[in-house]
Amino acid sequence: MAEDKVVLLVEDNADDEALTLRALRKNNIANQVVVARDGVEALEYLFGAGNYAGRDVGVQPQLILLDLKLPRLDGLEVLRRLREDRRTHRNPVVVLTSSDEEQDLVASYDLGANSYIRKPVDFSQFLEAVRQLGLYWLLLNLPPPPLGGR
Amino acid sequence: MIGELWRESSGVSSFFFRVLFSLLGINLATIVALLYIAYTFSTEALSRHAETSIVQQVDILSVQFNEQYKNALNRVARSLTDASLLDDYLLVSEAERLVLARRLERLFMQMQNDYQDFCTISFVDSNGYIVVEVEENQRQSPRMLAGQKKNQTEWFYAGELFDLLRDTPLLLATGDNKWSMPSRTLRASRLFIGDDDVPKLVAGLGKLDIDTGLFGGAILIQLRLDRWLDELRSILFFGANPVWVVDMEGNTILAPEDAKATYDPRPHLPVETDNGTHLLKAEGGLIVYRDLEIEEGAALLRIAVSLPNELLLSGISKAVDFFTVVIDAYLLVIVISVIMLAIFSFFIARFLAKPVLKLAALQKQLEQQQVSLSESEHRLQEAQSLAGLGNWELNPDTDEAFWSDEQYRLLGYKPGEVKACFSRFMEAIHPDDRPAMSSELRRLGQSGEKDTVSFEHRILLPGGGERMVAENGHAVFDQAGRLLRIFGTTLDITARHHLEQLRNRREKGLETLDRRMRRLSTLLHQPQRFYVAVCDGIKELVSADLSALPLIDNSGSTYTYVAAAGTKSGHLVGQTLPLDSGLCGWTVSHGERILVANLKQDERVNQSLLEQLDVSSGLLTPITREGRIIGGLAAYRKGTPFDEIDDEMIGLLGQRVSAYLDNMELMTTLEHRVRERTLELEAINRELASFSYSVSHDLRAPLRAIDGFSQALLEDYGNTLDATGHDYLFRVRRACQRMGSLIDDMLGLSRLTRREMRWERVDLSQLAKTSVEQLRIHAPRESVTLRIRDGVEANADAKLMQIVFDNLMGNAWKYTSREAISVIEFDYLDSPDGRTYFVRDNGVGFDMQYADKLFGAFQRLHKESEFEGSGIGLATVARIIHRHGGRIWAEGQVDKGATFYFTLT
Repeated sequence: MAEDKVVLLVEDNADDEALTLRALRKNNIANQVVVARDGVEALEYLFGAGNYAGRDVGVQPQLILLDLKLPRLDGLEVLRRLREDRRTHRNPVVVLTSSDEEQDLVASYDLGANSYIRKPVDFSQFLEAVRQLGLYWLLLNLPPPPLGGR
Repeated sequence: MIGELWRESSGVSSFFFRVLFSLLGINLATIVALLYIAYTFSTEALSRHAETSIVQQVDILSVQFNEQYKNALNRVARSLTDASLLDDYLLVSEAERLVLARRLERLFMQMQNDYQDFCTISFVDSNGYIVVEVEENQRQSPRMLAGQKKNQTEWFYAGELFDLLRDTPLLLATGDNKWSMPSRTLRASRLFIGDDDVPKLVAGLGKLDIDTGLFGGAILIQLRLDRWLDELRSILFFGANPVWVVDMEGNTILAPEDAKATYDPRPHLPVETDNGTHLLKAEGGLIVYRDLEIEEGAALLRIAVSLPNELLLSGISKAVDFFTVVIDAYLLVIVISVIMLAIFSFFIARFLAKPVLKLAALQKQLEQQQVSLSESEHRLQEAQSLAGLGNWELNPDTDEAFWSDEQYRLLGYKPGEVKACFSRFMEAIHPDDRPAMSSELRRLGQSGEKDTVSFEHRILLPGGGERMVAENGHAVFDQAGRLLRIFGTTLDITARHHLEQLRNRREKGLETLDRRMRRLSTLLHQPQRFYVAVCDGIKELVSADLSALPLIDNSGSTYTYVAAAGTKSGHLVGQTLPLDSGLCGWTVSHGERILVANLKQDERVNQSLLEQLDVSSGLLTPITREGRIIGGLAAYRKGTPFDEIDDEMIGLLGQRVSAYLDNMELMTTLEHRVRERTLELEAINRELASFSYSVSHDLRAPLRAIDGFSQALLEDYGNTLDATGHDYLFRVRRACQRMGSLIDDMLGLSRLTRREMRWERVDLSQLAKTSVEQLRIHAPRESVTLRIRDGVEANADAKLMQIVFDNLMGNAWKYTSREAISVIEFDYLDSPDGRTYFVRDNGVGFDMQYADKLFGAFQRLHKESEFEGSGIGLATVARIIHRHGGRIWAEGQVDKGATFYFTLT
């Protein structure tokens, strides 16, 4: 079952990617993590295009961890596009970013982010944040039903 | 008043003085009689007076004796026995005593200089050895007191006194090993006649040897009284010297030498002694005596004034004495009565002479009045002509009237040229004002309603022209209330009236000018509308029929009417003419204001254009921009020509329009500059925003990596690292976290600058309390005394001010954490410059020499290990206060607390 519950991590920074994966692992979150290294790649995965052509888009990740500052297509744009598409508009999206600028917060929520978490510098805190995040979004939170599921 | 009387005719004045002098004579005789009576009754009083004065004299003598000898001996003896020199003498060794003895000697000599009658001063030690002695300013060699050869009598008494002093205890035991010093008394010997035949006595005082507590010696002073006795011999009572001095054994020391004054008092003197002065009236005469003493309570001798009756009586009857006494006693009474009598006499004399004086004065006055009457009539005429004031009188029953010379002139006639009558007066009044005049006069005629009227009207002069006058009328009635006559004045107010009209027009003109200028100020950025509005303004300001605004063209050789207003303005707008043509051309090329009353006759005027415009008078003024003439303002009118007020107004308008034109230039430039600057600032702000954005993202990411991987290293490979390796990794992580928080603080600070201010009414007290609540939760402390003044409000940005208080209260909280009792205060001070708020604590404070570093970013005055913090708090506070247009500063002292003051706009 766990393999079904995919976590999509959209992160361009390799260090952050490694740290996030480590944090997930450290917290015993065993879900499959798909990493998209920019906005375009993220959308390709979600909509089954490009490298992910042929993916069953009826199955959507249980959680999207979205960085805002991304090459090619930034996080806010990714968020806007996936909210616009009826296949992905219900996906839980947690913005995970370094920024705590008000404008980013406002824009993220305006575009329908489900949560906004600022990456702490302190790795211990980061671990704790990822732990709570996993606990909540992957265990407690009931995801939207799969498309065409009923 | 007397002077006045002198000037009266001599007959009258001699009458007055005769009366005055006889009265004064009578009064003086009365006074002389009174004085005689006083003399008769005064003999007894005089003898009493004589007795009193003798008693007083004796009192004075005794006081003098006490001061000169008794008190002086006491002072000298005490000061010498108390002299530290003497104490030293007693303390030091034999060898040193010699030196001190010399010094004592000098002291004694000094004393003898001051007190000549102290003929010998000596110090005798406890063995009776005369250590120091000074006699009549001569040093005497030391020797034993006993066994003196020279002046045996003197030394006999000195020895006796010395024995007495030696036997008088200087210390008294009070038991329990305690001692008291009884008060020292100056002791004196009896009076004796010395070997040199001089009456003398010896006085002395014992000296305590403070080392042993025993008798250490004595100061002995010989007093000679011969000089005193000589003084007594020179005292006179009634021309004689009846002074006696006897000692207590009855020996006579001094007796009068004058046989006349000799009246032996000795048989009459009592044996007992006391302190007072006593008066004895014996059969043969009068005795006044008193006991004198040197040693307290031991009478030494008696002084007595003893007057035989013959001397007393002869003295009293002496005329000199009499007058001295009487005049003493009655002088004031005599003087007052003489003055009062003189005044009384004067008034009586005046009263009697008054009717006579009055008659003479009346006659003189009458003569003077006749002269002054003709003078004043003449003066009145002159004054009337100067003031333009005429006066008149009417008889309402007939047509008859009286006019003064000036009244004639006011009505346009020569004096006496026509017959003065009421109908002619009415004819002269301007027809429009006549009804008002008639009704005023009627009202004046009605008894009881009004007896004075005043109003202004115009007069038509026979030769043409008008005059404005102010009329004042007054009616006179008989007792039955019938109108007898009306009289009044006419004042020429033509000039005043004209001035008033001018002033009114001027005021109205300035008002219009201001109103117009305000309207023009809104049109500065639209030149064409501005010019049209100027033309409308000219029309209104000087009541012109046509106004125009010509401007010099770029070529500089022509000008064009860019705007005009009024009838026929269409003929002018857009017309271009050469500079040497027309009145406008002249004005702008000469730069002068001109007023032309008749345009047809002015050769500068472009007559062909004038015919089209149909105007007769013109008014033109140049206008400038930055000091250079660029055109003019023109006003034209048909009919009444322009006058000086119009001229002044258009001149003012020209100046102010010119000033506006200067501003027009300036405003356009300014607007442009502001736009440019705004664009620049916006660009900078955008840049700043994107900079902090990338700082926020990009600077943190590597830090997170460093921290994260250090942690990973610790977790995964920790077992292969030794303790130092662990420590290094911890340090790496700590540095990362610190840098992370520094970046956050910096971002926060920069965000403050960019945030838009939201002004509102803010309760600062509440903000301070909120901060404290947070502090209580996050850093709980006991024993913090808060003094937050309630209800302190200000216009500010609430969110920013909360940050201010979080920091200031937080600092106070932090830096008082080591105090036993922390006191944190928020309050304000009011001064003429405004309100100053402050947050004060009693914490560790700071050194004032670093006060300027407090508000810099990342500046810290304490080690991080002492008090944690990033050093950004006060920089944040300062930035917020500055954004409020306020000021912040601090005062403090190490370990004495700190006070942060700030102001807000």
